[in-house]
Amino acid sequence: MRVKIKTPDPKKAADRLKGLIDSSFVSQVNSEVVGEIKRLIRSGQSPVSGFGRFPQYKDRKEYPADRKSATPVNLTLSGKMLAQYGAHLISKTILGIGYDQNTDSHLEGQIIGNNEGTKGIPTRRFIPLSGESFTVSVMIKLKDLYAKRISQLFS
Amino acid sequence: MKVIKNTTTKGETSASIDLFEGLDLPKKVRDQVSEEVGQYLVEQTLMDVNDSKSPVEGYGSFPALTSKEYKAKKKLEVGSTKPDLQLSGETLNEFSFKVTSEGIKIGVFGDRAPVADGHNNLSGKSELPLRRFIPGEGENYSSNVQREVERIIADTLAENEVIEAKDLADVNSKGALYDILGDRLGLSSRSEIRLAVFRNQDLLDLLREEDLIDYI
Repeated sequence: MRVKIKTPDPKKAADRLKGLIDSSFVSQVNSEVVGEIKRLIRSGQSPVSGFGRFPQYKDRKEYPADRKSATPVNLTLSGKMLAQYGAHLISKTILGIGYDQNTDSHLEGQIIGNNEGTKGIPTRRFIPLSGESFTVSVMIKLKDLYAKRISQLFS
Repeated sequence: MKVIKNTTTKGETSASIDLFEGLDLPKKVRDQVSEEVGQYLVEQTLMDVNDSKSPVEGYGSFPALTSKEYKAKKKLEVGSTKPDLQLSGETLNEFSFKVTSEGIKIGVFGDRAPVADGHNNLSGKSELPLRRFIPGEGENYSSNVQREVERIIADTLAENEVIEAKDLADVNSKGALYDILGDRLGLSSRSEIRLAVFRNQDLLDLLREEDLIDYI
């Protein structure tokens, strides 16, 4: 998502926007937006627009068997993968949502395998790829935080 | 947003919702609003159901499972006894929405529709414990869901330029501006109107061009 602001005084606006994303904004995104993303995932839904409910397990007796509840399909076994999903400050004008360089490297295969699908595992998209976007519930919260932040910087 | 009708047939258990009461809008805008609101309500409903609570105002948490046989079956097959309407997951897989001329129809469309009526009792014929996830006629979604739906509608209207320069020609006070914006965007609170303006670039530009931005 790109945020565009037209103004008669671009220099002044650019100066103000240099502080658009700071640690407090990232913390708000983590709490409200990432919180909503994780709530969607916990309920068995993709937070990415167009993907709907995650595909069911092919054979419940084989997986998850007695390791976890068979419904909903929620990308949670130990909980470690989703625990590291979050918002990250990339620069003062760019925000990242997903995983950053601090993510445990041993989770990489699991993250990509679920997100893009791999041999025997259907795609359960939880991080949008290029050209995709989050669902309405997530975008409302994200747009709202940006609107509040921009309103604060310009008032 | 008003539930105007329920349908309970073998292939459909749904609520028809009027999203445009009193609003005269082009079909393109109506369809965009319906699509966004429909997706939002499906997402919110499935999240609430997973938390064992109703998205419908006044219904609160779902009652716990009472039948010993069903409880044992669910524990064996799913590994949980949470009242979240998910044994096979098929009923919730069929939960979706359709765009209509008034707004949307939301509910379970397909073979699982009678099961959905069993939980919702929109037909008045079910004897199961009530776990309502589709609103009945005259009922409302919870207040936070209603507020977000109002925001979606306001944002979509703002994106589609339902406000033009000529609408603002006679504005000479903050109150007059908020009255017009509130009326056109379907919002009543000034803070909501202000945020709707800051969420929409074209509207912000228009207010700047008309020299009204200082009122916001």
